[in-house]
Amino acid sequence: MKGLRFTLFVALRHIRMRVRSTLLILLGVSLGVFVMVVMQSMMFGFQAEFMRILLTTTPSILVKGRERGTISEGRIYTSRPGTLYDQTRLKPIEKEEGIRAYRTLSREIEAIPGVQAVAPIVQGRAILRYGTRDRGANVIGVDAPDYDRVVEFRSKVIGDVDELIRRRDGVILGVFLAEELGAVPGTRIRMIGVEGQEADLRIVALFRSGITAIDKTYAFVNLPMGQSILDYPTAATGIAVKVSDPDRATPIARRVEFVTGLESQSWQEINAVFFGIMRQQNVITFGAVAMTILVAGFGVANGLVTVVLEKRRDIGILRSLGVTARGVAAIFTVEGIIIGILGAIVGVALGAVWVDIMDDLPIGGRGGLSTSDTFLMLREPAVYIRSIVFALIVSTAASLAPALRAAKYDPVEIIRTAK
Amino acid sequence: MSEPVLEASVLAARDLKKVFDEQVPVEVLKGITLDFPRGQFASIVGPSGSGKSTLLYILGALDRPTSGSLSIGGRVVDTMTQNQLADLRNEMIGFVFQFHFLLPEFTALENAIMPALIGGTRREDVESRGLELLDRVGLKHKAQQRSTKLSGGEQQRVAIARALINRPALVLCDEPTGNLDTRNSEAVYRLFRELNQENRQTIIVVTHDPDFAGRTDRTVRLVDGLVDQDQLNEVPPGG
Repeated sequence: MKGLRFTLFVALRHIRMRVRSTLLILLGVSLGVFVMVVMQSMMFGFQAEFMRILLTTTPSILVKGRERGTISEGRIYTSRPGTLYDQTRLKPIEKEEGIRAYRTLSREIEAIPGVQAVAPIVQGRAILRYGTRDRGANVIGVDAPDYDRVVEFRSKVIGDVDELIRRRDGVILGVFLAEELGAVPGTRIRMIGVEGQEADLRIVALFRSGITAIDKTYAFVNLPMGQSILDYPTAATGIAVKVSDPDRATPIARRVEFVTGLESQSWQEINAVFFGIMRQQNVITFGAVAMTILVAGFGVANGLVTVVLEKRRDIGILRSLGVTARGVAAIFTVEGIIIGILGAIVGVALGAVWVDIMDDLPIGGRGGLSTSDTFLMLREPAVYIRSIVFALIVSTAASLAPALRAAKYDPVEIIRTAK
Repeated sequence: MSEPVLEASVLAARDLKKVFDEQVPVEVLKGITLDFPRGQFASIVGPSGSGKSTLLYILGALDRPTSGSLSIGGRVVDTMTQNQLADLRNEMIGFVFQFHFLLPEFTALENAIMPALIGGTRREDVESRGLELLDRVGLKHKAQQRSTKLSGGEQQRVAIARALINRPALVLCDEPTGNLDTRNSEAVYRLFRELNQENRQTIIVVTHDPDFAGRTDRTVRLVDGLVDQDQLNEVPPGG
């Protein structure tokens, strides 16, 4: 392109010599990119960490102790037209039957392609009593070595996991659950199952996943103890499954259902509500970020309009010297793009620094979804690349209007009236 | 009215009319037919509002006539597109305006070579010619100065260097001395005269200064949008 060298020559000189307006426009773009980087990093960082914990704390697939398609709770009354009185009543099933053949089924599930490990579990509600304090708990009876192959169990336990294997009456409590009970490792507590079974247990270790809801409710006991307290003497309530590719969990869950006839849910299905919330969060975040960028875009447009107005005389001269209207438009568009690039670089640099700072910044108190003490910032290049690309698109679009305005100036009019 | 176009004419205008679309349309040029041969140093004079500047802009392909025909360097410009006109201005025409009109962000040298850069010439290929021209107008020592740091007279001399950088066939000047004192005006006149003699460029100057006009080869007097008088001057040897 013949005119490009000249266009760059003039545009770069304008940028360099008109420091004030350049900085003003640049500041807008930088701020927009900065906000975009930080918001994304914060949002996605939290989500990524949450997903990571979820994937290492809960199984990829949970096979449940009920047949696919059975109604396990609820009542249905119908009265058909034409009949005087006709009531169909399905008695709610109080307690699921459990999986008796869990060992055989486990082996069958393990043979399904994509399945990496399986662990039968027994899971249910129970009350924990320590002194005068009662707390509801989600009791999970596991065979610790098996369970550790399905989730990263061992690494999340503070204390000795093997105590759970060695002693029949050992229990591992979520850290917040223990805290609420006021119990520490070594204390004995009482566990009361919903069917009335009771046991005296000894806290052998604590469990910390990083997800508040889990650390506040989970209590692990060994499988036989769980079976006894939850009243499943010879059965498991579910089989926890780990698949090698978490993204393929849902189709494998369907396969498990097909093979075993038992209802199975992938981790995506189990946490669908969370992911729904995350998606909404993302939409809101992008809305907010888009506003910032939009404002930055207006800054670029506004700044360039001012430049174009101030350069009216120069535009007249350039036209008289043989620059085409399109050439004039090119100069101002290129100016906008270059400032956009510079602004994006500055914004990304500031963003990166701020992301670093925030990574160590304490979030006041816990209580959110995550128990992290500091912000969880994501540092993926995609965050920066997306911000830069967006800034470039916006600053290019924003420079078009002023550039076209510049192109419309009539050189004769300018030269005739200039002083 | 339609005289044959002279073989040697660089600029041939035929019955140029220009109407400005105001609330009441104003006919500024009412039919101008002029030929300027190669190497002529001409002046256009006339009272304010006689259409001098309008004519100059049309002759320089900066503005279009409402009707009539114009050819520059043998090329008919009437049907050219805006982009073709811009290229034509860049290659064939050098403008010098009353207000020197330098670009403030650039040095004297950069301003002088600007038309060449617009034409796509590399900076390093034209800088030596730019310096030569600045030397010619007596400003070589100020080549690297920002144009805003130059005096009015100096800026006008840079503008003249700029008008000449692409070796245009035609140099058009609108009141080039209008803003200058006598000493600077004289310098500008001498410069035009010398350039005209050296390079055989056609120079057309719109001026209010009767003394300046009288020392050009030919004076066209416009009154009310028409050529009132067109005469060759006796120029004393040496300008």
